[in-house]
Amino acid sequence: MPLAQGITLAPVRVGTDTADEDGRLVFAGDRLVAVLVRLAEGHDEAGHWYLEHGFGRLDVPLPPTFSDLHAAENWVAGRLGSLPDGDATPAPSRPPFTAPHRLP
Amino acid sequence: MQQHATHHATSYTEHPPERLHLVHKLRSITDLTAEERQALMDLPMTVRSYARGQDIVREGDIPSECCLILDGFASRYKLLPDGRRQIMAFHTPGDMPDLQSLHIRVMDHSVAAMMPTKAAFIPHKSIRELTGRFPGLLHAFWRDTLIDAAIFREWMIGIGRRDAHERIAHLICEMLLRFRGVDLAPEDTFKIPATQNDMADALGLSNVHVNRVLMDLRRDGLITWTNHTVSILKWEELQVRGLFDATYLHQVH
Repeated sequence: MPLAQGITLAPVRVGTDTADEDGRLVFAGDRLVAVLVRLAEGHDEAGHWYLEHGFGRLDVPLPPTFSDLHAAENWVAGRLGSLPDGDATPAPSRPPFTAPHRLP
Repeated sequence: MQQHATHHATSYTEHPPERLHLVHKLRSITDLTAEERQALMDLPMTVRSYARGQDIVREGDIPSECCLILDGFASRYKLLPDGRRQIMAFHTPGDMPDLQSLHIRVMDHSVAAMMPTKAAFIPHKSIRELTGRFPGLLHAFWRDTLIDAAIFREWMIGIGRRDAHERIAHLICEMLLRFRGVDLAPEDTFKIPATQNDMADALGLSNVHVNRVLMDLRRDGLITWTNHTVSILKWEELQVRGLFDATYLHQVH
């Protein structure tokens, strides 16, 4: 698939059954490659964008969170453009034990 | 022999009161005689303290002693080369997370403290002597190991087939019964120092999903979870939510 082609985002409401509804469909050319949602109040990273679902190379075991859509686009473009087939695993977005996400 | 061991390792003389949790733990899954309970209490042990995140036993280690959690909370985990972590078990006081090291020489995973944790180390030699003298305790440890395996099976079902709500509710149900087993869940309330990351790494979920489910469970009044303290408010409903059946814990008391 021609991966260098442009990444575009389309607003969408995502039925997550939670307040995290504000979403973006992420297209590479005319292919849907991911769905992002903006984390609502109640999350440690409220306001950040979460990879609600990724397809193909973006279907990763530890879905990352991005501080803004630009960062998300960069990640999508990077994974689609540079990784060899079959490597669908990003480095974890957080090191073990040291992250600050305490349960309430 | 006994004297030699005592002199050789002068630190193996401590008798921390929390060692009673081991008696409680084993008593929760089998019957123990008064002599067996006393023999457990008399085991020589040395106590060490760990900070959160510190390894108690590490993958690749060849232990010559087993650790007993006295106070605190521990997890067993394994890391992939790029740092991704799977937590495979949580351990309450009274548990011996590396009991297997008695018969399996090399640790194939690590045990870490998840909060400031006190662990007691019991020489393999002492456990062998103990189980030689008290075959009932040999069976108790064997039973404990089998139940450990049953818990792993249940976690495997969770990661493979339960949805996020079921997985988290199931884990909370399990932890309540295990804390009850060592008399550490007064009024269905227990301390669990797990972060969202810890829960996510234990259950194969993302932080976000863990948080969403916990918000739902709190909103529905099934649990409260504040300051690392969980209270079960609706036990029956929580079990239904988690498709929980306690048979696999094989608790008898």
